[in-house]
Amino acid sequence: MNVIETQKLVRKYGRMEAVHDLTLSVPAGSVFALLGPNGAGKTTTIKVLMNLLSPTAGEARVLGVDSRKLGVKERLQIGYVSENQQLPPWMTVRQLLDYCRPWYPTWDRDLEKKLLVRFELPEERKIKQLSRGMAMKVALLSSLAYRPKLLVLDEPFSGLDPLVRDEFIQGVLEVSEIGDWTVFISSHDINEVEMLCDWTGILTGGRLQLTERVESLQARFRRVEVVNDTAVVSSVVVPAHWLCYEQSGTILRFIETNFVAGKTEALCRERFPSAAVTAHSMSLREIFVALMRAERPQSREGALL
Amino acid sequence: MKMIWHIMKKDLRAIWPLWLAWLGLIAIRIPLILYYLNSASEQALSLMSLVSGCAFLADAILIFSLVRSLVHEDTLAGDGSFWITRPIAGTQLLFAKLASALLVCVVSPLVVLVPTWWGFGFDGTEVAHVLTSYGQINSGLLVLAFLFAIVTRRGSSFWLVLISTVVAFMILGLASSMWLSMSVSFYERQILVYSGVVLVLFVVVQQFIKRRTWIAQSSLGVGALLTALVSPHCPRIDTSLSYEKRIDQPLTTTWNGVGAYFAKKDQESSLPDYVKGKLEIVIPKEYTRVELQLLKGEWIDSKGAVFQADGVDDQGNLLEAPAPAVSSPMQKDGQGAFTCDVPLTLSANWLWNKAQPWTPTGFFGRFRIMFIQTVTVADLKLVAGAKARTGSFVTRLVSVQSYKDAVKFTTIEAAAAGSGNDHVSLFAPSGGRLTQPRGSWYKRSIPMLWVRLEYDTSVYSLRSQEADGSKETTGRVDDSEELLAGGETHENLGERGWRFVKQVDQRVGYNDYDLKATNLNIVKASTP
Repeated sequence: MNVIETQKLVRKYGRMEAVHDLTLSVPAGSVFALLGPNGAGKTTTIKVLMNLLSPTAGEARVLGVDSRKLGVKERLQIGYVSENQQLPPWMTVRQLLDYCRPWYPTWDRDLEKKLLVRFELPEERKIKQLSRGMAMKVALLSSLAYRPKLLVLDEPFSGLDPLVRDEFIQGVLEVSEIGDWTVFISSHDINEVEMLCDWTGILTGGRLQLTERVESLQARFRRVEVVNDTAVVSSVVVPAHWLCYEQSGTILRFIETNFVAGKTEALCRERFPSAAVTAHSMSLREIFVALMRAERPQSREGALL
Repeated sequence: MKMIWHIMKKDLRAIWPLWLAWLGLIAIRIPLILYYLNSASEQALSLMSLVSGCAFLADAILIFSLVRSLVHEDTLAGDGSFWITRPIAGTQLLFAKLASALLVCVVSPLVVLVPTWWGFGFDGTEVAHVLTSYGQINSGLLVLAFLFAIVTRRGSSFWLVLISTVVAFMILGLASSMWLSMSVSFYERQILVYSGVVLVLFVVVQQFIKRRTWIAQSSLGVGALLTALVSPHCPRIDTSLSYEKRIDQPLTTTWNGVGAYFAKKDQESSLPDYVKGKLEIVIPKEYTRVELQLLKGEWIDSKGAVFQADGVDDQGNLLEAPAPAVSSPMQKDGQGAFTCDVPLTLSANWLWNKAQPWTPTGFFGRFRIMFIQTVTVADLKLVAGAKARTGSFVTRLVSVQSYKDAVKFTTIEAAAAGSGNDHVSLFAPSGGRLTQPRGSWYKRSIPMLWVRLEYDTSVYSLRSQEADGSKETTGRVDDSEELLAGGETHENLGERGWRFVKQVDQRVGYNDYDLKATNLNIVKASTP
């Protein structure tokens, strides 16, 4: 079952199309990372999913309900943390939790206490006196303590120092182990997200480039280095699934997006019979960067050398 | 219900310092007012006017600030607010905000004020009477603040939008009066009022239920625009001038006051300063007797009239009963309505000063008076500093004569002509216009150089009143005695009566001549 589903989702701001024909599925129990550079449409997508914005066209369903009809019943099962969320600044951490608690019949006080300790939050300090990282942790706590079925995190690491990011991630990891939650996270901080997610979608310019299990993505992406005896002939035709093709003297480098052990090497040998071929596994960040570079017009041209 | 209270508790906790400060301000006002009321001097009353004016301004600003803070606790505009992604229904939030706003802006100040009113000797009925009035004003401010708060995100944008709207409203009103002359009838006004209510509900629903800020903001803007175009309360430029006659003109405009104006019992009060008109003092039925006594100035004796029944017939005309004896105290008739045409001087501050100085009602009254002032600008005159002592308390100023059927004063038709009239008051306004459909803030003062009156009766009293005081000369035509009054000339026309020529100083805004005569029959009164 999919917790989030979008079908040809479009969202425009005036003439500008922030999200274009987005079709996306987030399976239940997954930690799904929606990655993309700034302005890719991640936040807009999340706002549509949370019914903070209406879709211009298409459909978005969250927990099986049309996002435009998300009501109290659904919100009881959704946790939302955003970098733009405004917490009442005059409240102390304790007051905020006291305020939130009665809204949720499923509020888990033990989990609340555990997270308070985990995040080292000062209960009696006012939110306006907290650092940005602390405030984000408060927001996360108030969104986790009722064990939502779906946790939506919109750019949660933005502006946080590495230490706080780590704590934040550890917190999410710990609670995600406790129950069968679905986490939908948007970010451009890929290194952090990589620690969390098992599914990913990459969004650029409002268009979804891919959506796949991280495991499978990392299995099919390889950074390949080919060392030839002689200078590479520039007229060699490379397959479309080789991205970021570069040559420097006798060395060729490219990203194989469809790696199969043996097959990629065979393809290389067809073109460079005497070359030494090595394939390196890639991190999610490297895959993301490769895909972004491939989006650029010159890279496409390069790929056709 | 439980969750509405939950939200309210949170909101009230957020604004309590400001709330408490406001209640403190109200409480501090009370000893000041007590002091000034007891001193009852002109100076004290003026000072009290100032205090009350500042207090009202502070009240208005604080109501706006409190409502804004309450609403912005859970901002409706934008999508960053904490509540939006929580299981909080828009209706819950709406009821919580409204209940909090009512509690803070209407109920809590009354808790401070009611004991004070009791302390002044007013009973439950009387206090209840003023609650409506007070509630109306604060609720009006509350609704206005609420509307602006729900379509804005921050305090800065709230104040900016509010001030801009007020300024735009006035500019638009003034500008539109140059090309749009629209008289709004009673029914049209009713339609406008209901449209306004619908608009308010629409904006509220859009924000709380649908959360469509853009639509709400646009609707509010369009509503303000239309209101500015057609509202009778919008300031207008009066580009025309006309003069009015005032010789027993039927009452053409009745101003309904705004509920109760409390004065301390036995409070000595200054009557208004510069509107000459009818002051109807309605005494609650609980009272069996009222004394109205002038301490300074004069009654025009024949004008002290008691109206029968409610004083108004089916067509809305005032019914005048036979004039009672001039002596004070005047007796209250069965229905308890007195209407006295006195040379009163209705100050803009009057209601505010004397009636309910510690509540905004008085100021609202002032606003209404200002509105009258715009309508009856030609009636304004500093006649005399009259004072009244009320044995009971003045509850309402229900009517002010406005002489709507304006004609030029070049020739006064002898409207009061005919035998049987023993008094007429000639009223030579300096300028302005009464028939301006929407009122005007614009006051003009045109010097009237002279007035000639011709009458064919035996004058026994001629009284001329001006800004600097009152002069009275008496005489009889039969005696051929020349009436002298500070450079005025009077010509005995023999059987035709007297010709009275009066040179009026430049920029005198108003001249008034009260003639008491037997069988007075004015032939002509004219200006050049």
